[in-house]
Amino acid sequence: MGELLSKDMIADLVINLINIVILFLVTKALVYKPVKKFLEARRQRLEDEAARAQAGQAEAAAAREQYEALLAGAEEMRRKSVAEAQNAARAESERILAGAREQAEQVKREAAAAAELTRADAVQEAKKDIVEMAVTLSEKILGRAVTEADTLRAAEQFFEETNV
Amino acid sequence: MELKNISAHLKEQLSLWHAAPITYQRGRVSKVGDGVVRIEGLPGRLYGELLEFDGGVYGMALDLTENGVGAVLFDAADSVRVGDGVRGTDTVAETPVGDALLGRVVDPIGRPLDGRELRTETYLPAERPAPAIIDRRPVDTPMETGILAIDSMIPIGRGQRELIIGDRQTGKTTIALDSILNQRESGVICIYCAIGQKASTVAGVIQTLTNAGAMDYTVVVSASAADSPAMQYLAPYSAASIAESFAQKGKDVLVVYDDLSKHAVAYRTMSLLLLRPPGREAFPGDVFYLHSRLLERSACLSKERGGGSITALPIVETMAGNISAYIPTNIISITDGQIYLESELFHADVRPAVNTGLSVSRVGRAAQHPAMKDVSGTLRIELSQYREMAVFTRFGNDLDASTKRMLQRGEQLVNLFKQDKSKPKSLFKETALLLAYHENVFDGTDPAKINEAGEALLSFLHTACPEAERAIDGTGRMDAGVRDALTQAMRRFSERSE
Amino acid sequence: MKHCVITVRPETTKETFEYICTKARARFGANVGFSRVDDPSIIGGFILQMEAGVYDMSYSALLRDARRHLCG
Repeated sequence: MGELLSKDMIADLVINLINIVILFLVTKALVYKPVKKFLEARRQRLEDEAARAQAGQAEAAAAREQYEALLAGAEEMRRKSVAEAQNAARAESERILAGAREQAEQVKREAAAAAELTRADAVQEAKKDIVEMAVTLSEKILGRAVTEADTLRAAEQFFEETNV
Repeated sequence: MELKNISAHLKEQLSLWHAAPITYQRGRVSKVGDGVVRIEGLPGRLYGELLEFDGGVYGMALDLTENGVGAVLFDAADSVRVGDGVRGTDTVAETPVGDALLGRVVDPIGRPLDGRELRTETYLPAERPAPAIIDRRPVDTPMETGILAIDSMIPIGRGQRELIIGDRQTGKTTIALDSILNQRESGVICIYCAIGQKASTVAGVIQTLTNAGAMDYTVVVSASAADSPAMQYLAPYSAASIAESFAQKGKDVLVVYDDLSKHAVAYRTMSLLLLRPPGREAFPGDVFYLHSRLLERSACLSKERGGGSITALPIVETMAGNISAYIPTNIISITDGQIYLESELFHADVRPAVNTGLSVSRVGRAAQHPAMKDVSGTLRIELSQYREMAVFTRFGNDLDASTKRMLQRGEQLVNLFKQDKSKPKSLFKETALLLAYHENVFDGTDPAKINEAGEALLSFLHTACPEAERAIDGTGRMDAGVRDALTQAMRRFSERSE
Repeated sequence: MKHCVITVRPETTKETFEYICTKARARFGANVGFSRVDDPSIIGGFILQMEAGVYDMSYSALLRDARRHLCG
C-alpha cells in the first residue's frame, strides 16, 4: 500500500482536495447563492403572479355576477315595460271601442229623436193646416151667411152674460 | 199623436172651446222714439206687463203713471206709429222653460234663433222673487270648472255666485265656457246668457259648445248687440227663470251671464230714454237692485224646494283694471267671491290669467273635494311667497339654497297652472298633478316644458293606476292606499324618465 | 162724458146699431157718446170699445181665438 500512495500522490490529493474545497467555496459564494437568490425571486414572482391571477379571476367572477344581476334586472324591466305597454294598448283599444260604441249609440239615439221630431213636426204641421183651412172656410161661409139677426143675438148674449 | 188621430184630437179640443167675448184694455201710442213708446189710456197695467202693438210688435210696460204708460219695444221699433193701438195682455214678460230648451238657442222671450220650432207648454215670468232664506241650504257641493288654478285655490260650490272680472280679452268667457265643457259627465245643466255680445262671438261660442258635445245639456239665451235695450235688459232674467225651472226639479244648474256690464249699460239706456233721473255715471238709482235681484235667484235650494241649485258665473268687464268702478264694486259686493283676470298676466302667457292674490271664493274649501283639499292647502301661500321673492331676483342678489328652491318651486307651480283653453281637467288629473308637484316629480324638468311632462305623467298614470283614477273621480276622496299607489307610480315614472 | 166706439160690419142697419147703443147706455150710464166704425174684416158680431176697455164679440176674434186654442 506504501508503494501505491506516494508522497507526490498524497500531495496531489491534498492539493486537489483543497482545490475542490476552494472551488466549492467560490462556487457557493459566486454561483450558488445568486442562483438560489434568483430562483427564490423567481419563485416569489410566480407566487405573486398566481395570487394576482386568482384575485383577477375572483374580480371577474364578481363583475360577471353583477352584470348578470343587472341584465336580469333589465330583463325584468323590459318585461314590465312590455306588459305595461300591452296593458296600455289594450286599455286604449278598449277605450276607443267603447268610445266608438257610445258614439254609434249616440248617433242612433239622435237619429231616432230626429225621426220622432220630424214625425211630430209633420203631425203638428198637418194639424195647423187643417185648422187653418177650417177657419178660412168658416170665414168665407160666415161672411156670406151672417144676418142682422145674428148681430142682434150677439148683442143680446153679450149684455146678458157679461158683467161689464 | 199620430196622423190618424188628428181629427179625433181636434174634435176633443173643439169640445173644450166656448165662444166668449174677448176683453182687453186698449190704449193709443202718443209718442214713439229710440225704442221707447208713451201710451195714452191703458190703465191697470202691471209693471213689466207684455203689451201688444198693432202689427204684432211687442213691448214691455216699465213706466206706469196716472196719465199713461211708458213702454220699451222689444223689436221692429220702426213699425210703430203715433196713433197705433196697443193692448195689454195681462201677463208679464214670460219665457218658455223645460227640457225642450236643452240644446236650443233662444231670445229672451223664448223665440227660437236656431231655425227650428220650439214646442213647450210651460212658461215662467222672467222676473220672479228670489228664494226665501228658509228655502235655502248651505253650499257644500263642488262645482268643478276643470281649471286647475280655480279648482285648487278659488273653489266654487254649487249654489254660489262667483264673479269673473277683468279687462277685455283676458279670457273671461273662456273660463266660463271651460266650466260649461267640464259639466259633461256631472249632470249639471248649463245656461249661457249672452247680453249685448256681437252675433259673431255668440256664433263662435255655440260652435265651441257644439263641437265639444256640450249643447246637449246647454241652453243659450241671446240678446245680441243688435237687439233692443229691452231685450238685453230682459235676457239675464229669462235665463234665471229657465234655470229655476230645472232647479225646482232637483237639478243643478250653471248660469253664465256674459256680461253684466253691458246689461247695466242697456238698462241705463232704457232708463234715460224713459226720463228716469240719472245718478252716478248716469246709471239710474236702482242699478244695484237690477243685479242684486238677479243674482239672489242663484241659490242652493232646500230639499223641500226641490233640492237643486243654481250656480251663477256673472262676468264683468273692467276698464284698465279698475275694479273700483261703480258696476264692478256693486257686483263684487253682491257675489260670493271673484276671479280676477289681469292683462299683464295674459300677455306674459300666463293663461288663465288669474291673479290669485286678488281672487277669492267666500265659500272656499267647504265646497272642495277631500282629494283636492289634501293637495291644495299650501298653494296660495307658496305662490304668494314666490311672487315676493321673485321681485328680489331682479336685483341680481346672491341667493341662498332655500330661496333658490322656493323660486324653483314657485316657477314650477306657475307653469303647472297654465292650461290650454277648451281642455278642462278631471278631478283625478288635477289632484295627480298637484300631488306630483308635492312629491317633487317635476324637479329637474324645464319649467317651460312642465305641462308636457304633466301630460306624460297623466298618460302613464291612466294605465298604471286606473283604480286610483276611478276612486278619485268617483268618490272625490284620496285615501292613504290610493295616495301611496299614486306616489309609487310617480316614482316609477320619474325613474323611467331619467 | 165717456166715449164708446162700436165697430160693426158695413151691412149692419141703423136699427141694429141703435139697439146696441141702447143696451150699452143701460149698462154704462146715460152720459156716453157713441161713434160707429164700419169694418168688413170682423165678418159678424161687433166690437165695443168703452174708453180703454175693449169687448170683442166679433166673429173674426172668435175664429182667431178658436184657431189659437186648437193649434196651441
